Amino acid sequence: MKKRNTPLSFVVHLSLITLILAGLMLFHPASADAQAPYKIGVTNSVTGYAAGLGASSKNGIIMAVDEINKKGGIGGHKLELVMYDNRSDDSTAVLNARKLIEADKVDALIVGAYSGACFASLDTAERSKIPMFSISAGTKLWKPTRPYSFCVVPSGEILERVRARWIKEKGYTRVAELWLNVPAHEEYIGFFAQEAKNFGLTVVANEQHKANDTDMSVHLSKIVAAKPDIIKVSDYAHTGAIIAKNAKSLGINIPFLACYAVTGEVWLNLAKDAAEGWYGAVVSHQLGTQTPPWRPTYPIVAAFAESYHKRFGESITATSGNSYDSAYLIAAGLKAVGEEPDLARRREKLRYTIENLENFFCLNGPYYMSSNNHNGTGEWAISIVKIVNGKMVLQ
Amino acid sequence: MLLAQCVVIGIVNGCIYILAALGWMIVFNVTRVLNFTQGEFVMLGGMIAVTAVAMGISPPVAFLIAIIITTLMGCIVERAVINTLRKAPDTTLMIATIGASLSMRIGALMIWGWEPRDLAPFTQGKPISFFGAAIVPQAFWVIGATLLLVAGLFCFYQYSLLGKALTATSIDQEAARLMGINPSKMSIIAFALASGLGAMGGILVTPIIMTSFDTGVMISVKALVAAVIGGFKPRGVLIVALTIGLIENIVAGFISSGWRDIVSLTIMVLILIILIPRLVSVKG
Repeated sequence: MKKRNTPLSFVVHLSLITLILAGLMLFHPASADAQAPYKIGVTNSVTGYAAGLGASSKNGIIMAVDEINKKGGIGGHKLELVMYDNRSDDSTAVLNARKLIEADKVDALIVGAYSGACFASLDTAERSKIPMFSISAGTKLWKPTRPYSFCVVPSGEILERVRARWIKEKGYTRVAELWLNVPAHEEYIGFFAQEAKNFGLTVVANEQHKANDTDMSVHLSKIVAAKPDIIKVSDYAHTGAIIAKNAKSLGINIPFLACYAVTGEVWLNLAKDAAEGWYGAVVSHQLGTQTPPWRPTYPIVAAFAESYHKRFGESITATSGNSYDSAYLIAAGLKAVGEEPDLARRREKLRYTIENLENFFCLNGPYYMSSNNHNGTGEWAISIVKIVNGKMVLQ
Repeated sequence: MLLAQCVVIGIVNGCIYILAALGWMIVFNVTRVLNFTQGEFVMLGGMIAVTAVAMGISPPVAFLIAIIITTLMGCIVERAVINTLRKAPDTTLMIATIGASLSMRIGALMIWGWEPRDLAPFTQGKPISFFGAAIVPQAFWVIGATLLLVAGLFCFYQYSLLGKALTATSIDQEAARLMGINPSKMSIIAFALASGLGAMGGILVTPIIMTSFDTGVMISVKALVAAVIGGFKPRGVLIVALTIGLIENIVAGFISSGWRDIVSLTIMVLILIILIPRLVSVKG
């Protein structure tokens, strides 16, 4: 007897086929997701007072991700960037971080490019159990160690040890501090006070100013009255240029030693001849093609500097390099994780693999991450330069 | 030396605030609207001048171009925002100017990027020593130009028919209308004056403080404080703007930069309570 095709049997057949297909998908989730990209969430200061840092940070991340994707991504997965502007505002940075974690479901976060945004976002990342890379020199961002917080920027602690040692070696003893009041720079002052004791230096003046100050002549006049041997500047490029110009106007002949957030192309373009003779502590990769060829980082730094200049028409900065390294460390961590379809488990494994990256080589030299060191850099990542004819010359 | 330096920098800063605060005052008196694009006119003046000079145009011509373009922008803002929404409540108009200000700032960011720009001082030369304070030649330009502009504005309001028409509109718009004065025309003239003044301020200060897409914000906030505490009256605005510049630098010099805004604004409020009623007559 021939079986009749009723509407009921059609529905039953269709349901069976759907169930079989669903079952196949359930037992082969990895194959279905094989090409799904890994997402890196970025909340950066593209506008606002820290826009200078944010713009180069963004460029560094874009470069790293494009390079990785051109090489085929990570185990077949492309890297995808989800980027928001935090407008140099701490609250916006936190909101962006939450949006990236909860709505965009990113694998890891990069927060920058100023200390306030990074410190504000720390708790959100820790609570959400997602690896977060800070683009700021704040040592407290990674020390004491928090499970999910990483920061590859050579920290204030390292910076101040290098600056104090160099000041001592030059034979200066009386040091004046002039700094922009942001959390990272406040840390610098504390670290330098410790290092000053270790190296027998005396801090004879301590002047701070705000981001919207337009003239620092008054601060400099107070510093000069304290008769320092050297003036240590912890600032940003724009305000650092105002300081250089003010110092030139006041005819100050005392040497200046700036930090890496000041010393760079933007500052040199703004300060022009007022920058002549200044010393600057730079993140070593800022030397770009001027990096001494004997340094192990020379090939990677020179290649990065050239490609960066070709693509963005500007020189590399400390921030662009640190952001580039952060993206590469995330990629290295994801590669070590391998296939893990569950996002929460992938984030947890990523935290673990980054923490265990040892002798991972990038722009800042080798990184030695461990469970009690989420920074991984050392004094080798900082160099002292002098501005001669508008160029940075290694000292 | 320190006090002299504080006073010199204070006067220069005060002059910058005066130019921006007069812009706030001119527009408010005619339209009764707080025009939040005032700071952007300062930014635009500086940015356009820097761009024109970078294109090889001689500085005086470049400055003139910057003033003309910024003045035109002022007129466009007036027509697009104030005139279009003229029947809306004052609060709506104020919020609309905040929107226009944000648009201008983002536009500037898109055109010029985030990087601060610099302009060479109008005259080269070494700083001049005055009671131990170093005064850069550009400071004389800022102070001199501010004095000239304030004097010119005074003469314009006092002796020209247009100036008197603006004064009449600011006192009583309806009465002015009955006398044949067109308030809409006065509104656009007020915006042209305010934006032109802002542009001049921007050009004058760029060699000292440089300029970037968000330069206008920090200047206009202090200028607004000066305009409000000065009661939107010329004498009050001049005194308050100059005093803010002086106090904030003396506080930065003798106390700390961190206390600058708190102390200077507290002192300004005290001045408002105690002195301003005596300095500025109720009738203006």
